[in-house]
Amino acid sequence: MTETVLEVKDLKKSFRGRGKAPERLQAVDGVSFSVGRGECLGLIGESGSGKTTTAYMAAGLLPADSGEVSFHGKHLQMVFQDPGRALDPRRKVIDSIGEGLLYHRGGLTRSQVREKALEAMDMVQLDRAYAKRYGRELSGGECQRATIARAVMIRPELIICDEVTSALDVSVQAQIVRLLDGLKKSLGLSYLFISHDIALVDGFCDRVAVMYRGKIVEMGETSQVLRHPKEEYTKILIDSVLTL
Amino acid sequence: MTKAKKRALFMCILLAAFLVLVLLGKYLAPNDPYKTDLSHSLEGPSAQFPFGTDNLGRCILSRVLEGASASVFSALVVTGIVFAAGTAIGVAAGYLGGAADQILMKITMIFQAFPSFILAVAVAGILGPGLKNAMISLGVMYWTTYARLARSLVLRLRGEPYIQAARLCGAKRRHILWRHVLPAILPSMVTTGFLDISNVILSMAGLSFLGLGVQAPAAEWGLMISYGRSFLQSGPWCILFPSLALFVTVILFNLTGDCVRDALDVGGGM
Repeated sequence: MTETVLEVKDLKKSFRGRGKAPERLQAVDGVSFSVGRGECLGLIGESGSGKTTTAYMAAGLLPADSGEVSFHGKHLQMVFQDPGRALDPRRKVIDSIGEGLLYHRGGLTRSQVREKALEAMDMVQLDRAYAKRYGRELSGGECQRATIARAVMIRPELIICDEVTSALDVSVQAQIVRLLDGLKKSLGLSYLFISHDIALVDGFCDRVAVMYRGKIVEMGETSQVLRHPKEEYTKILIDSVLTL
Repeated sequence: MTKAKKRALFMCILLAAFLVLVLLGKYLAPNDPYKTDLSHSLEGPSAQFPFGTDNLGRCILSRVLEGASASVFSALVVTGIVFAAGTAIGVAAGYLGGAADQILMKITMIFQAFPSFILAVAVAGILGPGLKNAMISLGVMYWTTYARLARSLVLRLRGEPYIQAARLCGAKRRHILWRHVLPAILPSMVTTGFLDISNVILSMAGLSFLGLGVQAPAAEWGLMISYGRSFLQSGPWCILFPSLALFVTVILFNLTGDCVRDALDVGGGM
């Protein structure tokens, strides 16, 4: 086993129910996993299984009720599900990307940050002509490239990808995953890759964890879990994809 | 520049010109607004008194010009202060959440529980008549709109992924407020402010009309309208011209508010 970048132990989170279901909803119920350096861990499961809540807690954006998140690195970034809302619509793309480095610029001037942002745009194959556009003027795929550029600006050890492809059309999905795969190799990144698209996870992730009702029901090598699932729920999840 | 922006710019220039006129009103007055001359009592419009005179022979045009600054600028000051204070309170409540939000919003609700103009009348009644007290009571009446609006806008923004991304990039609260939250909520807030100015002007005139605002013999439109009621038949110009001035001002602010809203809506963040 390689060095661990992210370790999550027995994470729990419940939300106050609303309306007809006043009892508390246990969104995440004792989730533990770890992501090694250079590894890509897939987190799959149906909608409402607690994947995104887990991601937000792992990123430190949402306090957990109990459990432990330890991140052994300097920087962690996240790429979000809804590309249209991941960039500030009122700011220029270059400024949004530059924000990745703005608060940790360590002596860099603003113009140097801009230059780095342009380099990051090259890295994600986003035309430099988009730099002066506003966030709201970009298509979904372009937005997602820009948010990935913002994420890699600071050279994080780990990027949490929360359903980054589900709002994109199929041809763009493949491009984004190829881009992430390339960055993983060139920058030595680790990913926590959350998805409900099993086909994408199959090609991209080293290991995969299956979530159901706030718990991880099965975890292991991607090919092992997807080809020879042990748990009943994993079988159902895989079958539901194949029948589509 | 889009059509809506051109129109908004035109209206803003028109409004600025109007405000200059209001500011210089005192110096443009053809007669002394406070000089009584019973030999000219209740005269109709003439070359010497273009808007006629009231029962004490005072020039109505001069008084309308003199009263403009009390009516318009006091409303501008009140709107400016409630805009700033209400926005600050609403943003704080929405962004901090938790107990701060609960307390601030409960206070807002207490203020909103009273019919707003009655509240202003009550506050002005307690503080006593006068321009300053009228402005305070209008402030008490109007700030809740901004607090509630700002809070709801901030609450909607707070969960946006780009705000979360900024947090992950290491942005502090103040960075997020200045860079992302304020630019996003200001267009709606400014539009509301513009549309509210005319309401404040009318409320100010209302307080003066009730005798709780500016006191006689000072010239103020609401007060002049109230005073002119007694001479509705013998000298209708006493009430006509101050009302007309009020009408034009309110229309001008409302139209500008509408144009500003259209311009900001279409462009989003420009």
